[in-house]
Amino acid sequence: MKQLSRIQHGIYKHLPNDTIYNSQAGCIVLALGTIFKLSSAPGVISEHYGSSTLWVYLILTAIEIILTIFIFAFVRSQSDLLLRATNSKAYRLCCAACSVWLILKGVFYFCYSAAYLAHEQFGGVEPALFYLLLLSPAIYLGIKGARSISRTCEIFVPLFFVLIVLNLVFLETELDIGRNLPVFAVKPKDFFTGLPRYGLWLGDVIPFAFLRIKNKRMPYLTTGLVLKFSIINIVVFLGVAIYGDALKTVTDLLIRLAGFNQLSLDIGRMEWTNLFAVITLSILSQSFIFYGCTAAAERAFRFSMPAKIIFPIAVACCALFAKSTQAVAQFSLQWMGYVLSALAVVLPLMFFAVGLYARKKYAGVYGCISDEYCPHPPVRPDAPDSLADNVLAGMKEEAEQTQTVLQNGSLQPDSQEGE
Amino acid sequence: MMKGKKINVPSYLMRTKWFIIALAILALIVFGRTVHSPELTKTAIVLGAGIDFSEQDRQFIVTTQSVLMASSSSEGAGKTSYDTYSATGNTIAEALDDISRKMGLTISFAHCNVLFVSKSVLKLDHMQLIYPLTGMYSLPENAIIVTGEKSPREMLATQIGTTVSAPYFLQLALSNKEGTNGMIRTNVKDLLVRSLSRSEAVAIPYITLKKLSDQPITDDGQGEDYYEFDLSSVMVFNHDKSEILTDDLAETLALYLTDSSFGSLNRKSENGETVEFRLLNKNVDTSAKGRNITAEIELTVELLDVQFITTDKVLTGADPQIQKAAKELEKEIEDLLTELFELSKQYDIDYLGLQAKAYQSVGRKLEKDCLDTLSFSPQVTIKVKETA
Repeated sequence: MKQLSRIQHGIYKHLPNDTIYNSQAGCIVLALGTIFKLSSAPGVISEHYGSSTLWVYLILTAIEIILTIFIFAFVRSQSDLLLRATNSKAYRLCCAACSVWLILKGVFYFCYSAAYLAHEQFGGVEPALFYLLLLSPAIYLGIKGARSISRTCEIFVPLFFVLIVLNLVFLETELDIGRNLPVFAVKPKDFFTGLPRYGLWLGDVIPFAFLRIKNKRMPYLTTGLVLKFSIINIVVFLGVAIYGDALKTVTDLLIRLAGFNQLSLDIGRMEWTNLFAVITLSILSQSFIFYGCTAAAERAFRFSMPAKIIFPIAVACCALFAKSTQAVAQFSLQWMGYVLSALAVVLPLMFFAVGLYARKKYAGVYGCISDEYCPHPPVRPDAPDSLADNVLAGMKEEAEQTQTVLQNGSLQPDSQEGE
Repeated sequence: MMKGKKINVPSYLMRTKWFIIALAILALIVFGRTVHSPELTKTAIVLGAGIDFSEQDRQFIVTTQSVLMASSSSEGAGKTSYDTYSATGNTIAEALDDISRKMGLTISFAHCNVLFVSKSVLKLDHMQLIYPLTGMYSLPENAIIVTGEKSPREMLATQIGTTVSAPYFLQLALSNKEGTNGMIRTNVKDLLVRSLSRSEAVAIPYITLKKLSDQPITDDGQGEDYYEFDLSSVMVFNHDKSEILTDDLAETLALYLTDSSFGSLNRKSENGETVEFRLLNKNVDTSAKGRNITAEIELTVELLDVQFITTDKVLTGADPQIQKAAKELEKEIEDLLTELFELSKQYDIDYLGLQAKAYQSVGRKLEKDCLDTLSFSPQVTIKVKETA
């Protein structure tokens, strides 16, 4: 096996393709979670659910947590490698369905973003130009791949996350937390039967199934997930407390909340702060969905070109030639919402089940694959080190987990080396 | 001979970030010249807007007051003028378009902090009234909404003694929390929130105009037609009814509804002893148990002034006379709140928001227009902070 990585202080400088660090995965999770769920979704859900909006979000969060567990269990077990190595037909079928589902998701997400950004925030700008400027960086990043997306997210997401949190810290307006009551503003039967219509906002983590995640020391991914679920529910809680039933008139909650920044009185309107966050994170999220679509197509059809062509064309055509982007977005809340929900729930379960079956059936192959993609750090006797024992300090720390470190600080020679 | 390395051109280009950056720059240069974008010098920055509705013609009369900044010239500094324009249209947008044509400038509500509305406008659908303004015209949701005895056009054109712009005066008085003694502050967002709640009732400042008895002296001599705004009244309304509350009732309602109140509270006893407190902090906690609503109001005040109390020492907040006045004030505010509740039932306007509170406890089974079935008990506590 060719070793692609080079170690520097315990961190791989060049990771294999489709491999990202858990810190980068945490940033992507945060970007995906906060933007699409907090821009127009609260207003859309509030239109039907009123004061129950927060409780809808809590239920969607619970479902999302379960789906996330299944997806990351699949990722951690490296089942994707095994299923590709064994050419599993069931997995290829799942990936084909996933690719189609991600195209639909991309189209609807884009139309939602375009609807509120092009028509309300940038009313004077030609919509076609706006769509082009929004879509082209997303497509570019998606084609570049997961590592480019993850590195970009690593730069922008913490910055914008802090900005969003600061806008919440400086929030000053009349609010009543009691507006989140009663729990059932609609009949319980209508409450539960209506829930699957919002399936567009489920299953954002599914593209992670096609990635391998390398851990740094800190639990960044778990932190990212906790932050994501917390910020979503906190913002919706505040949104309902501030707007009550008027939340249905809010097309972008994050941007509106920034307008109530108490610094507004001194330094002018502050909506632009969250507007930057919304635009940037929408592009990053859209690019990750596009990446997921191409990766799924590659697994399903052996090449990703169909997805690379169909996804941008579908998104651009729907935005440019549909009667209105809002009509496309509204379509995702009708029967299409149930389809999207079903796929969002079924796909992680299918991935997990197919992976589990393959791991049992091809236990021997699975062992090799695991060994192949978790290489021991190579001993480089000619590398400089502080103890003059021919071993870098960073390598020792990692090697302690896999190899024996001798009393004099050097590594025990690997018996397999040279075979 | 060395074998030449085959270059995959599309892949190479995709990897070349400079190619993409160059494309972006090219797009910006081309589209920047060909796509229309509003310029700041061609934009009328609206400070205040007024909306009136003629029920006979079914037409909107929209008025805007804009600040126009003339650029500096060699002759001297730039001159600022406040121009008021009015137009009529079937919709607010049509009237605004007309104003835009009259001014030759694009209308921007991005810095409009005051919205004057007439009584007739408030009978219309509030969502349809506000949504286009906050959406298409970028009206800030923090913009204060006010009404008055005169039409919005007249109010906008009024000259105030302290400033040339009426909206600017109101912005200072209401938005910037200066001198808000008894004045209610309801912004555009609050109007929509309360209007769409179960209570469907809103309270906004009701402005009355009084001509200044002593006109100011300006560079041009004795001024004329200078007015003062009286902001001590409140108009309470729902979709079909409206009433005006004044003096103590308006002040107490502001105390109950407004998020943060500043100003003073006055207690005058039967024998003429007068104590003035400055309001430092306020906490209103309204809770509902079924149809019984309790409002716990905690006020933190400091002693500001004492008159007509017979004493030979300097009084502080700890003195029994002051504590007694505070207790009496508690009772007075409780009585006023109870009176407000009775009036709301009488007017059938739930401006205290009690139905919305009851809905949180009872749930969706709470019938509409159930104000008569609710009970309201206010409990006021005043803490006098000791001062030197």
